[in-house]
This record gives sequence, C-alpha cells and structure tokens, in this order.
Amino acid sequence: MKRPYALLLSAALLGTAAMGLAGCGGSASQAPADTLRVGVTNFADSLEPTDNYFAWVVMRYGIGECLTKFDDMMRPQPWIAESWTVSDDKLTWTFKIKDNVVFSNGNKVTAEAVKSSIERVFEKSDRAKTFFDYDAITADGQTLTIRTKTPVPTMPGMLADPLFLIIDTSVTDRDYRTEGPIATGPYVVKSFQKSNCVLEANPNYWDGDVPFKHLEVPSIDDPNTRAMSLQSGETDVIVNVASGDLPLFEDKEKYDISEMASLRSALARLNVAPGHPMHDKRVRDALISACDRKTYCDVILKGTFIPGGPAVPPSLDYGFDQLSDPNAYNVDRANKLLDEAGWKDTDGDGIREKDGQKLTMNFVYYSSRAELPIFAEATQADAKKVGIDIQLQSVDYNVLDGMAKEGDYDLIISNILTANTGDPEVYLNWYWKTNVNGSNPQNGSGYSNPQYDALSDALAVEFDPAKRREIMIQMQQILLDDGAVLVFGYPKTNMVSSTRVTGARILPADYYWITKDIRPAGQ
Amino acid sequence: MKTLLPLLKAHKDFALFSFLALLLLAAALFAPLLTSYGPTEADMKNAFLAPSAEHLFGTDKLGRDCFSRVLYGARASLASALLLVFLVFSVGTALGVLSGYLGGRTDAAIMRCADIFISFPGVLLAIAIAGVIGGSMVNAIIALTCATWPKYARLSRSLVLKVKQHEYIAAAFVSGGTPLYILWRHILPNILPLLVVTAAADIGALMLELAGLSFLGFGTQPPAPEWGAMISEGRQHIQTAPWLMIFPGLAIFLSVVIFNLWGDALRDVLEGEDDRTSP
Amino acid sequence: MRLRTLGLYLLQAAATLVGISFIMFAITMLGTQDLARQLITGAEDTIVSQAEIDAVTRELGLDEPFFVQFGHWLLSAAQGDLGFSYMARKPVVDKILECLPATVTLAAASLVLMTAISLPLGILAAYHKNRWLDYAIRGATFFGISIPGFWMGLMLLWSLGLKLHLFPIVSSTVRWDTLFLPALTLAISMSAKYTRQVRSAVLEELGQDYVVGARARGMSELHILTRDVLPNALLPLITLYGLSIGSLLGGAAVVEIVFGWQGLGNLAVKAIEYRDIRLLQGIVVWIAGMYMIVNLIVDLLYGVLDPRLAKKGARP
Repeated sequence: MKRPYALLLSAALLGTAAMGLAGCGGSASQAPADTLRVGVTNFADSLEPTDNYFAWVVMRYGIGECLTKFDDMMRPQPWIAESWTVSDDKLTWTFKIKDNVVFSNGNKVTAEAVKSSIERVFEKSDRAKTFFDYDAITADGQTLTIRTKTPVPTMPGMLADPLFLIIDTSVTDRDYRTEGPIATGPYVVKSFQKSNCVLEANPNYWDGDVPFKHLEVPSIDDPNTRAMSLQSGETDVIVNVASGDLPLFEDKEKYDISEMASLRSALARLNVAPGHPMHDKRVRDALISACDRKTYCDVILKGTFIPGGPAVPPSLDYGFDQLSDPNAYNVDRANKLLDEAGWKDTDGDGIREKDGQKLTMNFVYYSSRAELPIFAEATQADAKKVGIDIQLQSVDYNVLDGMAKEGDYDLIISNILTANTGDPEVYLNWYWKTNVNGSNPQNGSGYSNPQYDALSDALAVEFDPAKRREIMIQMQQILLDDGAVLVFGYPKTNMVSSTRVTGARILPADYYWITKDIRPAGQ
Repeated sequence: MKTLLPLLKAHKDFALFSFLALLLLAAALFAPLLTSYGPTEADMKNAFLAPSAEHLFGTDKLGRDCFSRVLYGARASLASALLLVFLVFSVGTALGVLSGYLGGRTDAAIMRCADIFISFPGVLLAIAIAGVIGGSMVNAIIALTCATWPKYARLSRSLVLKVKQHEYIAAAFVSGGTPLYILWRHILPNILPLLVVTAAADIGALMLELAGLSFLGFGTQPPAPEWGAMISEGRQHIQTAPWLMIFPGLAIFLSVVIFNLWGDALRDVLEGEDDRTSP
Repeated sequence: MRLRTLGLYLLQAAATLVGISFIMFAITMLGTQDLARQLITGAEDTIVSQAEIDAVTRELGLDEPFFVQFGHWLLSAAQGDLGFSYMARKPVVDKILECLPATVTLAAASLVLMTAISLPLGILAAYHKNRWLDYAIRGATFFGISIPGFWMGLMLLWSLGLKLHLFPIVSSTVRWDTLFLPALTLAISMSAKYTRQVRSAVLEELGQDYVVGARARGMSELHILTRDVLPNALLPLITLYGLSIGSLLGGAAVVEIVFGWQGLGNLAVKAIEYRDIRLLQGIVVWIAGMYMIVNLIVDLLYGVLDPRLAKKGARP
C-alpha cells in the first residue's frame, strides 16, 4: 500500500538531488591562475565597432586600441600614435604611428592601415561625422595626415573615442559581430555572446607580454549580483559596484577598490526665460544657495558623488579648484535675496508670494538613474525651508528631452557626459550658448549671455590647449556668476578587484576596463 | 446581521479569514495611528538602521522608517489589487454575459477579442503594455486588466449559456419577461456565486502579479511606498541591509496567504461544504 | 474533416496573431514619443544630434502614417522577417533565436522539477486524505502559491548561492549548475498548483468503482496506481501543462531578471527599457505563436489519448 508513492517520491528526490549535485560540481571554484574573470555589464550584442556604441565594448574587453588614450585627467596621450602636430592653417593634422605596433594576426600597423580603418568608420557609422568631417586622409609610411573641412581643435581627443579604434580592414573573411575585428589589444576573442565573452591572450601583442592566457567576461547586469560574484570567487574583477555595497569590500587583505570621479555631471538646468520665476536672477541665486549639495552627496549618496559647483567635473583639468561659486550653501543669503526680490510669505503657509502669485516652480526629472530622484526630492525639501514650493514631475527620459528643448520647465534634471572626447566644449555650448530660433536646440532655458557667446566663438577656433582651458574656465565662471545652473554633483565610478590580481584601475573615461596592466598578484 | 452571524458560526474558517483580511485592511487604513513616522519622511542622518525598538523594520537609504513604509505600502498594494480584481471581474463578466446572452455577432466579436488577449502569456502582455505606456500603478492595473479579463468573459459566457438552457428561462420568456428582467432576475443570480468565488480566489494571484510588475519598475514609482517596488529597492541592499527586502516580502506573502485562504473559505461557504477536491 | 478543423484552427490562429500584432503596434507607436532618439540612445542618456535622429527616422520609415508602417511590418512578418532590432543590431528573428534555447531549457527544467515535486506530493496527499500528511502538504502548497517568485528567487540566491556557495551566482550562461536555482524558483511556485490538481484528480479516480473492484480482486496498489489511476488522473493535467509551458515561455520574465538568465522574458524587458519596439513586437508575436502551437499540440494529444482511455470506460 505504501510502496507506490514511496517509489515515486524517492525517484523525485533522487532527480532533484542529482540536479543539485550537478550544480555543486561546477560552481564557486577558483579559476586556474592563468585565467582572468571580469564581471561587467554589457549592452552590445555584437562586436562590430561601427554599430551603436559597441566599439566601447571592443575596447573595454581589451580587444581594440586607438591612436590616442586619455590619461587620468582626460588629456590625450600617445597609444598607437607616437606623436602629432597640426599645421598652421589648423586644418591638417599629422600623426606619427609607432613603428612596433602589430595587429593580432601579425600584420604591421602602417599609416595606410590606420587610414583605411578610419575611413571604414566614416563609411559605416552615422556617428562619425558628429566628431569631425575630413577632406582627405593620406598615408605615407608611418605618417598619417588628416585634412579637415573646418578647424578641429580637439582632434587627438576625438581619435581617442573607441569608435575610432584601429582594426585590420584587410581581413575580410571574418564575422566582426561574433568574432570581433582584428585589432591591436592584448586579448583576442575566442567566442562572443552578449552574456558571456571568452578571450585569449593576443600572441602578437606589441606592448609587452599579456599577463593572462585566458579571459572570461560574463555580463552581470544586476550590480548586486555582480558584487556577490566577486565575493563568491566567481569573478576576479568587477566594474561599478553599487554605492551601498562598497563597504563589503573594505577588507584590504581581500579586495582592492579603485574609485574615480567620472566625466558626468548631475545638474538641473534653470529656466530663466521671461514669465518664469527664475527670470529674476535673485530667485535663482536664492534657490542655488538654499541647496545643501554637500549633504546630498556626502551623506545621502554616501560619498559616491563629489559635491557640485562648476559645470565641468573635477576629473577634467578645467579649473575646478580655482572657480568660485557665489551661491555656495547659505540659507540666510537665500532668504535675504528672496526678500529683496519681493517674495514674502504673507499668508503664513510657509510659501512666499508676490502679486498674489505663489512662488511655485516645477522640477522635471527622470528615474532611470537612481540618484536623480534623490536630488530632486532633496532640492524640494531644502527649497521649502526658504519658502519656495517645488513640484516634482517624473517623466521618461525621452519625454524629458523634448521638454528640455521646449523650455517646458522651471528646473530640469540632467546627468550628462561632459566630455566624451576629453574636452567639454560641446557640452558647454549645448546647454548655455544662446539659442536663436532653434540654432541651439538643447538650450531651451532662455539663457543668453553675449560675453559667454563671444568666448564660445573664440573657443571654436582656439587650438592652444592652455588657452582653451583658460577660455572654458572663464565660461564656467560666467555660469556660476549668472546662477545659470544648479550642479548637484559628479558621480564616481569604481572597479573592485580581488587581491588575486593587481593593476585593476578605473579611469575617468569609461572604456579602459581590461588592460594589460591587470596582472596576477605577485608578478 | 441576522443571517450573517449564524453563517459565520457555521463557517469558522470563513469567519477567521474574513477577520484576518479585515485586520489587514484596517492596518492599511489606520496606518497613521500605528506609526509615528511618515512613509516618505526622510531622515538622512539615520539611514540603513537595523531593526530596533525605535524602527521595528529598520530604516532605508533615506532614513525612512521601513515599518511605516510597509504599513502605508499596504494601502497601495491592497487597494490596487482589490481595484484590479474588481475591474477584471466587472469588465470580464459584463462582456461575457453580453456575449453569452446576445449571441450572434456580438458574441463572435467579443470572443475573438478575448482569444487575442488570451492567446499569449498574460504577464508578458502586461509587461509589454505597462512598459510601453510607462510605469505607474494605474498603468499596471490597466495592463493586468487587459491580460486577465478574457478569463472572466469566457467563464461567465459559458455559465450564461448553461443557464439559458434551463426550462425556467424559457418559461420566463413565455410568460412575457423582458430580456433585461430575465437577465437580472434569473441569469445573474445563478452565475454570480461562481464568478465571485473565482474573483476572490484570484485576489492573491493578482496581487503577486502586480507586485511582480512593480518589482520590474512598471508599477508604482518611488518615493511612494509599495511592496513590490520596495523589494526592488531593497534588493540593491540585499547584503548590507537585508531587512529592506525581507519585510516587504513577508508583507506580500502574508496578505496573499490570507486572501487565498479567505477565497477558499468563501468558496466553501457559497458552494456548500461538500468534500471539495478540485481547486 | 480532421484536416478541415486543423485548417480552421490555423486560420483562426493567424487572425489572432495579426490582432496581437496590431494591438502591440498601436500601443508601442502611441506610447512612445521621439522614438528615433530613443532608439539611438537606448537606455543611455546621452546627447544626440538632430542629424542622427533624422537619419534613423528615414531609415525606419518612422515619419510614415501609422497604417502604412503597420502594413509594411505585417507584409514582411508574413515572410518570416520580423524587422531589425536597433538594440541588438541584428534581425529580430536572429536575436529571438539566440535567446530561445535559454528560455526553453529553463521551461523544461522547471517543468521536470515541478513534476518531481508535485506528483509524489499530490499522490501522497490523496492517499492520506484528511490526515496530518495531507494537511501538511496542502499547507505547504499554500506557502508555495503565496510567495512572490522574485522574492523567493532572491532569497535562494542569497542563501544557497552567496552564503552556502552551493550554486553559482552568475547565471549568464546556460549550464546545469546555473540552471538549478531559477528552475527551482519557478518550480516551487508552480508545484503548489499542480500538487493540488494531482491530489484532487487522484482522489477522484480512487473513488471510482473500478479501483474498488481492482482492490477487491487483490491487485497490488502499485499496479492500480500506475496502470489505472495515474493515466486517468493525469490526462486533464495535460491541458494545464500546455498553459504552463505557454506562460513559462514568456512569463518567466521576473525570475529571468532576478537571475540574469538570458531568456526571452529578460529580452522583452530589455527591449522595453531600450524602447526597441520592433524587437518587443517580435518577441510578443513570436511567443504568441509558440503558445498557440503548444496549445494545438496539447489539443491534438488530448484527442489522441482520450478515446483510448474512454474505451476502457474508466473516465466518467
């Protein structure tokens, strides 16, 4: 009577146990010493570098390299190129290619190969033209010249963008999407899937020995799972641990944390067009002064943000320390300014009024980045303390972008990459250069300062890095003095590694992840 | 009241689970009396406090009291689940009754429509709809209503067809009853009990689906407290502050258990206490 | 006659698919603003130039009227081309086929696990009707049916994966060991329902005259169970299986997300985040198609199995 189900039950239990055991077999074991495992997030479905932003992944995985590389202050340094100069008419750039660089198939990297690689990018990617447009590229031995249609002061930085990583275009019998291009990086693809990429050491690597024979790059989308994978020993290095999880890796015996301010700024653009309360400079000065940005970044966000001030983050060498913010946190000043501007709380509800109008402003934000709602809520709380009523409005990012252009806001949040090419010129123009009948659609705030525009025009034709820096510092000071923007802070990025390996270091540019510098510990 | 008391006495299970369900609703309703903290009241200096006498369920990243968030979250979670069940029930039943009663083209149109909506996994449809029209609790409810109404439409239609065959309906027609009268007087009373039982049994399951959508970010948006969204937020601190996901999870679990048991008990009451074996 | 029914079914299925496509198309087109921009940036909030936006708008024909766009899509879909995924930079069909094995494997594994859990438990409960074991099992099913799947998944990941090191944390590749936790999570949620079904079906059969007769003839209980009771009791479960397979193929999204399992549900959520509407449409239509095929197979299977059993006179 009891046998039938006892039989079935034991069969089921056995089956479950077998699956469980199979599970135990392969898990959580340490990888062999010649294997590196890096937990990342990967958005790329293919390794074709001219598609979308997929070139980023080709570079992050240590497959491809560019002519130039950004250092820790985002200054372009030699990589495949040895040196560069620009002609007197500022239209012709000459790059000298290092003599010892070879592709992973052993082919030498000549100027001709570089030319053909760059031309391929322009042929295949719509995005290339947003960097620069060339008239002609010529190659002679190891000398490459690029002649542009208009002056491009930041050419060396442009060519550091992963989009322009150098590949061997003479190889045609290869599916770049699944096998990756033939390039010059320390690792070559063995198999690629979006969720997991397996690579091997490039046998012909030009820049020293490659420290690991095998490289595995699983994509772990969830940051907490990523953190767990390092703890459980399934990965050796992970990129971007969630802020709250960093304390888990404080044990210096077991983990190294590399942390750095990124190139992003989290800020609120302020609408200064007539009809908006902040058309009055005193109101916006008051609002900025009322926001305790240091607490937002240090306390609420646990130091994962650097408190804001100037428009350009401190990861870039554009005068962060020498700029002065007249609207530093000062509640008394805020109250005084609002009083002067005629906003008084007459009905005792805590919100100021003028001419029967309440001092109410709307703040448009999106939530796909966790810190943005926090900044919005914190601003709302602080503004209330000085009698400003802020209404929060959460929208989808693509809706927000439209509202920003229309000027359909009082404050609008932004988390923006300030200098994709190492130079914040584009960013500074985009948000604050005068918009005349749609000439500069991103500036929907009505902000216009002739002095700022003049500096911007001068910048467009200035090639001397020192002078460019000087101009952009002045532009930032104008923004600060005008109270044109409320910069909340600059996010930090991080990379955490097990002490099994050394040299895992994050840089401000978000695409130097796996490099030849990540080595087994003790070597 | 006169009929209710004996009924509750005769069905102790039902009485008990009704009481528990009411308790749950009361906790949600009277949340302000049960906790001194506001659910969105941030105290940044006291973030990530572990559960203590002061903060029963600990505090979250903004120093908000997790206990009061769970309590207030009950409002969003319970209200939206009940609203969802009500919507699904009324839309589905209305269409199903129409379909079964009128027959012909109306029937064909409604049923083809139901076929479309039922021909693929409801959760996926809900995700697609809520995801595209944007995350909010209202949209999540709309999405799940779209995905679930055909079940009730089909059920009520088949029940109406069954009832229509009975002789007393024909008799009612012969004796000159208007269609509306017959529908109201003879058909609805016959089919409602089973539909109500189905709806009651679905409260728990739908609550879980709503929580799932919120977890994916297609439901209630922060900072409003809602259990699914709280788990999603708490998940980011699963190692450093596990209480942030444990308590909302337990809250969902408890409410779903209570409503499931209540649904079962209600079925026993409405269908008589024969030895029920099928669910 | 049979063929005609089948043909009719397929015709109806095709009409339903068109209906679904239309609904999806309408929702996505009406629900998304500035689609081209969104396609370019995806989940990243970067600056995009108008030139890029215009190029994509032209390329995808986003400036054409709604019905023209739908017509184009339908025409190529009929030829097996579900469009091009902007997110993946490859044909939608390719991307779906890439994620399909993971989803099918997970569905199969969780069905196996679920059966391994619910069949014995259901039978046990039936044989011990209204005794403590029955109550215990039925109580357990209440737990199973009431736990949010994603919450349990996280708990399993945390306890079995991180704390006990029994299973890998990262499930981005399909392997035996990575499969276990997601499959278990799904199986536990489902087995609650199935255990009850098995219990009630077995109970019903046990009450039949032929069982009483067989026992009277002194046949072994194992024989009765495996030869008579189970085949009859499990037949209605086939339909339920069909529904479960259907929902597993598309509805496991939440669990897939929790474990980072690279299946279709996960892909659908990614497609939404990226606003890759072509991909999303493709996935929905694809899953609907699979769902119908599974249900058709179940119907046919039922038709094949049922008469044979009916002849034995076992079914009421």
